[in-house]
Amino acid sequence: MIVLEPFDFASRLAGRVAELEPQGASAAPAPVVVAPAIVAAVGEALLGGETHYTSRPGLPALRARIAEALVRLGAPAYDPDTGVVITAGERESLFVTLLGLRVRGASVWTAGDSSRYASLFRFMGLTPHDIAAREPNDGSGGLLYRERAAAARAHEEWSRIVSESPLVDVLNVAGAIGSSGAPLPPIVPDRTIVIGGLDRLPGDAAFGAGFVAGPPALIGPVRTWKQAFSICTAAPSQRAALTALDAQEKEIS
Amino acid sequence: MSAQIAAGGEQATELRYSLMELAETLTDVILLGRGDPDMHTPPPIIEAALAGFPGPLDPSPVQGLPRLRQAIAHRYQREKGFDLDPEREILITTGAQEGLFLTMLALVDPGDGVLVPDPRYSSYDQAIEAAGGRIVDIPTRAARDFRLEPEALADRASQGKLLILINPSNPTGSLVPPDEVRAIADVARRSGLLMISDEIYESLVFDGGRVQSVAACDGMRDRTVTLSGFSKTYAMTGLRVGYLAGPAVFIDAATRIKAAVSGPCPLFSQHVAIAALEGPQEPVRAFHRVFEGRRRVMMEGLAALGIPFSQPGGGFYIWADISKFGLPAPEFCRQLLTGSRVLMFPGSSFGRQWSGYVRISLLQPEAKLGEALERIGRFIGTLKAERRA
Repeated sequence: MIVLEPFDFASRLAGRVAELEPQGASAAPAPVVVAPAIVAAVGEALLGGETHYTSRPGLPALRARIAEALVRLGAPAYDPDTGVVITAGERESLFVTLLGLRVRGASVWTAGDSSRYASLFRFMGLTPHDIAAREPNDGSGGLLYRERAAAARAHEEWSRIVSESPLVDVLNVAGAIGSSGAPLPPIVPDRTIVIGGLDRLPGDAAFGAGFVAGPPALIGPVRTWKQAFSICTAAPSQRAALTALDAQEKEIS
Repeated sequence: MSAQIAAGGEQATELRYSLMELAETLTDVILLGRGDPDMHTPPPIIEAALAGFPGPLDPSPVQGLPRLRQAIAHRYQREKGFDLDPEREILITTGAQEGLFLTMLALVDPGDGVLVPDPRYSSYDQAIEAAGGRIVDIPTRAARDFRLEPEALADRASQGKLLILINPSNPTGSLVPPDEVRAIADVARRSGLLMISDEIYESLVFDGGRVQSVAACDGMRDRTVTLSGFSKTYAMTGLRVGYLAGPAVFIDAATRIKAAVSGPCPLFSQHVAIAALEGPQEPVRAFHRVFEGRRRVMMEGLAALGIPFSQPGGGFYIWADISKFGLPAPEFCRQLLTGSRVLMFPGSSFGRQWSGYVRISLLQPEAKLGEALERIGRFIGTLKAERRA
């Protein structure tokens, strides 16, 4: 029998997480101010009894809004019931996606600046490689991770690589939902998972929410692992995001 | 860490969700399934939290708001006489389930044995399996109300690195009394086990019982992680606030992992938790009285129907033996739901061998529980008649 004394436990732990940042990059430096309309909507919902678990993929109305917003940005029309899952934020979106894809030991091909997630990839047992180093005739599988902020021309090339290989494509659109800006880069409908955060919506920083969207075959396991990890996203966070998206839609229209 | 599919845990969880989703398609269903209190979060808690908004407010570090950690430390000191350093020994999580996952990711290496009582809530399995751990069941017995016993632990202690104690238990409601907790802790310490003590139902114990915190047992402070949260105590499942308390080196590691995989618990939810802890505690006592009454109604009703059950010492579940009705629990529950409109969870969603049991949640008013018992009575009457025929 191996007797694990507390000091062993301490040294093993320290070694395991040495590469991870103590507080992460997600602690916002600026004071948080919530839009009064969001406070009112969240307060009304909570006092009306919205204090329970939501359904595990999230509030249906919020999932529908996200699907609509993605279509406006040029994404495929994802089914809100089977193709969209609400998460606690961009980071959780990526984490539950990696769990759902069961990619331990696989290669993750990173495109553009993915440095903020490099330690997460390694912690999850993935081996990161720069997509620029991939041979043209490389037919291996694994994961492509890319961020929307990269140049359009680069995205075209990466989408071509995905369409010609067995890679699963994870496209992080960050805070694109909530902007009326540039369309999304090309998406390979049956192999691209779109992830993003919603806490950059105006006045929504106190809540934290995100999403994962894609074809049902890829989203099903992600939904299972989201439920296993945190059951569902906080109800007020979802209500706040829905309120912010509604307000934005009114502005746009 | 491993992302191997959590076969057993996932199947068990899906079994419960499939019944919940079936229930959503039916009308007039009495829900005795999911562990989500039917009462809403008390309005004074929500109003107190809302008073702090729209802000400006300080953002939350990943470890959680200092004021919330301080309030938790005060509570431990006040109620348990146990000192926690809020700076180094507490992490606020986005619900207790996330806390469980973070703990497994921090402590479990692929192949490590994790000792868990059987039966148990299947999310433990999923968290263990996600970290690449190996589940080591510790059997429990009906004769001891399915409590984890020190002797059973001693038999298997050499097979694991960690022990999870869920006290009171989900799904059985069994409460391990303080002297037995100390005996379990003693076995764990002598065997070199780390312990995770899930104490989320600690405010709901009955018949004068109490939850002995494992971390307060001799020699356990440096090898115990306490897992708890606000969902059950304050009826705020939807807010998703939990916490981990443990050695500073563990909290530092779990915080780093949380920073990588999810970030801080939502700021708003943390303010609701602060309001809950710092405000009057009468709602907690009121919830306790409510569940005490419901427990009595259900126990008396099951006894009258001749359905055996284990003595629930805490939590809001009753673990009942339906084996004599001749249907495996999943089918029993499906027929009870579709034919009689009562949702409860099959025992096999808490471990493969428990197909002779059901978990009944006390999450409806007493009148509804009475109606559910009537429906159950008619249902088992039909089953008995069919068996006679």
